Amino acid sequence: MTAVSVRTLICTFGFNEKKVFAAMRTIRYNHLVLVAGKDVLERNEYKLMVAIEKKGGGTVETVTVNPFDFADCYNITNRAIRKHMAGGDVVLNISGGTKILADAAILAAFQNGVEAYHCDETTVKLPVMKGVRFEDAFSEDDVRIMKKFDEGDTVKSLAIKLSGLSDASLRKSLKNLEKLGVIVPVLEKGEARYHSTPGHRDIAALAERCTR
Amino acid sequence: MTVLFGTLGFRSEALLPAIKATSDVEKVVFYHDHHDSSLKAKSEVCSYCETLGIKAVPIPVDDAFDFLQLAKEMKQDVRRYRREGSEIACFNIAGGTKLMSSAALLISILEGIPATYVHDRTLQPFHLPLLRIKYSETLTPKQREILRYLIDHKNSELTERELADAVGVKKATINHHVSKLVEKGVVTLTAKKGDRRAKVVKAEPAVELLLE
Repeated sequence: MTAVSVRTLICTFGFNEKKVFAAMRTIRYNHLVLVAGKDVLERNEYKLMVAIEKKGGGTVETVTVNPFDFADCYNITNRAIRKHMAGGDVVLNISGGTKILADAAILAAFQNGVEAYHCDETTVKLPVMKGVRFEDAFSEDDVRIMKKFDEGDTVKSLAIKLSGLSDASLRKSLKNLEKLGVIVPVLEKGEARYHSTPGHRDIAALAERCTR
Repeated sequence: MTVLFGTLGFRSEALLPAIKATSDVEKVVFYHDHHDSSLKAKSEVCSYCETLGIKAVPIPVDDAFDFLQLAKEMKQDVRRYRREGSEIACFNIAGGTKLMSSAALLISILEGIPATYVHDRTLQPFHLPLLRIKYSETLTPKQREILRYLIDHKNSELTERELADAVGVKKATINHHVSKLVEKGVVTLTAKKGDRRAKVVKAEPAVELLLE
């Protein structure tokens, strides 16, 4: 018996079911996941979509987000992608839902290196490189540092926390994290102290994503 | 020169807080469409910048719903400013149509530019968790050369053999590179009409955004 490869289509969804239908027509899939705001679930457009998918022999898995909260949309879409990547291929359609939800889904697609499309009247395939993950930019030492990182750390304080990591490796990784825009050194009382950048306040969560 | 990029829709409040929150901005380059409300918002942004002594560069877009075209224009502008020695502090993607915002985010990811999203209600800029990496650098120089050639000859039906001759490598070498690019989802291989043994290589249209 040969294993059937599962291809999950994850679609952002707002009030316009036609955008999801466009993706369902264009993209081959065998499992459909919708990422949508809670209030969408009671709407006829959503019910119609579930019914159509059922007629085609499938089911709809729905994950809900606050469609006006970027972090929520991003974290939940990321989680859905990772869950389904474990069981096969994932494809994303970002044409539905709010601007924030679509943008969060684009970022999650690049983050995880999954195929992504904007399906509407025309279909645009985004230039995501499959299998290329943002996390690949970090070395093992970078991740070790991120796991132990506290705001205001110095080279010395990190060296104490990361026994076994040579001074050269520590400095090399700090340089890399700075280059990637994750941390920034600030001169305080004659000493360089490292702080997270505004886009990466939760460095521990970033480190966690890198180790999965 | 420090430049801030942004997208603008009907509300200048989607851009002004990002200008306020970014230090040492000398120029604001922003995209808007021709709708009356967008033109009004444009005037408000220009007036705000003039008062603060910041140069405003409004860029009208022909079609605020043409995702690929918007992304191409933004990429060209970003690269032009960089070539001229400007530092791009940030791309605020909160304003404009959903496709303007998504195109701006795409360019921020591909070019490694920090991006912000001004929250609709709080009017506080939220910093997106992007990395400062140039996405195309995850390709090898040879892969970039092959993609460049394919994009420059997008109307030709190039076989792997012809592509190998064009970029000056052996057929086996091109097969290796092309299979890696197929894995990444940036090129497709299809059987040539009339000669099923030969394969035609095509780059996905949006791949152009990755290249110089």
